[in-house]
Amino acid sequence: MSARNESSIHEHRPLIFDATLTLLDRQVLDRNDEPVCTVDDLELSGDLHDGVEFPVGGPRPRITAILAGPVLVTRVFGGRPPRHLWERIDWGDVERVGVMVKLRLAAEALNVGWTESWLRERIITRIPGGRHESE
Amino acid sequence: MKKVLGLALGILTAIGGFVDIGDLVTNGVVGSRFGFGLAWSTLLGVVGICLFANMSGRVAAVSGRATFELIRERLGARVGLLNLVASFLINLMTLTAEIGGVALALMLASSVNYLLWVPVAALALWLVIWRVKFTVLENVTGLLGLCLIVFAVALFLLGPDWGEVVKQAVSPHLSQTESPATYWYYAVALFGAAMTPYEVFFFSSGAVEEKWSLKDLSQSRMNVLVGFPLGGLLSLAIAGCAAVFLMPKGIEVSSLSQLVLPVAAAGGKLAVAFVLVGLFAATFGAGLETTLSSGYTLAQFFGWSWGKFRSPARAARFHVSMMICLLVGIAVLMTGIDPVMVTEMSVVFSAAALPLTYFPILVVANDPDYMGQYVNSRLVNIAGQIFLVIVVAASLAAIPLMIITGAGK
Amino acid sequence: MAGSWTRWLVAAAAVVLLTPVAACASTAGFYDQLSTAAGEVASASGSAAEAIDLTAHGRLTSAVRDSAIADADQQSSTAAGTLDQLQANTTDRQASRRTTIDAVHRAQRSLQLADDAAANHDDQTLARLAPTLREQAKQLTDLQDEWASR
Repeated sequence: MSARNESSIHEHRPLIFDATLTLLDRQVLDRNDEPVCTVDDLELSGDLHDGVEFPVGGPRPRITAILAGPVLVTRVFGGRPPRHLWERIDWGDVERVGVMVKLRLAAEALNVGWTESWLRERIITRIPGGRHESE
Repeated sequence: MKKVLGLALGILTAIGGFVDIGDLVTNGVVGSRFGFGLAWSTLLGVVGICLFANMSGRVAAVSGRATFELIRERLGARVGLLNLVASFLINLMTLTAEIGGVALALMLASSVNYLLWVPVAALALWLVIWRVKFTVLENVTGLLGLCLIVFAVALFLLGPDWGEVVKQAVSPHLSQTESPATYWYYAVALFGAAMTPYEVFFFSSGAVEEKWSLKDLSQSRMNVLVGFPLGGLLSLAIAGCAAVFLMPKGIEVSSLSQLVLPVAAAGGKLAVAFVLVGLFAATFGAGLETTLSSGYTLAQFFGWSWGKFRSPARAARFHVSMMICLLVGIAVLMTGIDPVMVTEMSVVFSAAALPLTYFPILVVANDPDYMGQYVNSRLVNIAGQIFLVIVVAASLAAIPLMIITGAGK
Repeated sequence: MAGSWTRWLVAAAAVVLLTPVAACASTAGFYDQLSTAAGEVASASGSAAEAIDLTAHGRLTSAVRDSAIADADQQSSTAAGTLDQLQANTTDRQASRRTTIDAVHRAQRSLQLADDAAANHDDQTLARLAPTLREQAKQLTDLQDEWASR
């Protein structure tokens, strides 16, 4: 839907963009253009070096994964949630970055799609008419 | 006919915004206590919602995304969450009231006890959301809701002195028993009711449901320019009937049944039949709008898949959250709480939360990343900023006025 | 340092702003509440009478009429209840207040009778009650205007 609009609206694509503005809180779509989650945080490559994660003059950080998870409270009030709350989507699985982030995988293949799958299996399909389009 | 049906989204949004159960009674109250003296507040609200709904519709048509998603993306999780909390709670209160409103309308038509209708109404709402296509939903409730035009017909039949009407509207006169604080309380309530945030979220999500694109920009504008003024007209007609028929008799509206009296006097049982159908359709439509809005705002904030254009299996969280909302609504109503009172409180709170919604919309509609060349024109931006000032003033005044006047006593 | 000052400032502002509001709320005196209650019951009686008349002339369905009477009955008993509570809190035996309170109770009893009649589909009793309800509404409206003008 938006790809069509994008090509007609944007004359050029910037090659350098601000990750906070362009990536954070963006919608993540799966292979079939179905919404999966939002980009809650980004995982950057880098090792702690004398307590400093990205020392000046050292190797530049790269994005290694998109992170999503039930971390709304820390997003709003600050602080760092523990590792196990995050769901990782490897950066290699990202196909396109535009107004939304598109993945190469289907939603079912991702951990982050678990709630949706569970609700679908346990509740929606048990109610008559759940699988069909509205009429 | 197809052109008329193409305006159904605008009409349904307006119905849910202007003549839901709370507005129906508030308009009656205002008419029976202040005559035509608060017509300006409704008119101001109509202009405001037209302006911002048009922006939302344009955003949805150009970007293919609904307003709430863009608020989260453009302004971040904090602003998005604040908006979500405010909107969702108000939606939930209004949704509860609408289920009650549908039950009240059914009771008026049938004499069966209201509490018995509550679960039926909620179940009916759920069934429609579960199975009925979006376009059918909006066409049927929109068209049936237009039966409320009988109030305008009744107003003409009651034969008021139009010169007097205009005089009252232009220079309001307070009766001895009313205080200025109450007048301004209702002015803010009417304005807040006309510009309730869920109207905008529903309209833009509906635009995405209908898959509006660049070529539908003029249709979006028509929907806004026909739907909302029509809603305002219905509001004014209801207030007018109360003003002309009830005010001289010293009857102040406090329940749905009293709204029917002027129509009965003017047009007899035939007119009453139209009113009852219209009341049912308006409250049912508003119920659909608020339930869907709850689902839309939650799903759009958290990035879930949403939409009636998807089968429920592909939008599981969206549908489950709406089911839970309806169940909460039933539970609250079964405690016996007065649905009209619930909605009058929600109107005031939504007036207080207006800037949270309308400022982000102005920001998003000006963002070239999403809108390309279709960003707001200078004129629209100036008008939008003027309205933001009005909106902030109304939101600051809302809760103090509610406390001072004891919610309009 | 700046943080603690801000907190005190905000607290002071809140007290300054809320005190007149609280004062207004608590001195919403007996007069106002009497006037409001009279108005509410007048309105309830008036709408019940109107609904009965419209139905008698074949312009309104009995379902709507019965709802209107039930709503009116409920509204009047709520108003009368509030008045009783107010009365219990004052030792005032002023005659003029007595008149209004008695009028409210009389109207409330009429509405109760009307509600019962509607439940029994007793159109004749309703027809008899309608003029009484109108009269009571008029009386209460006059009393309300008297109180409001004090």
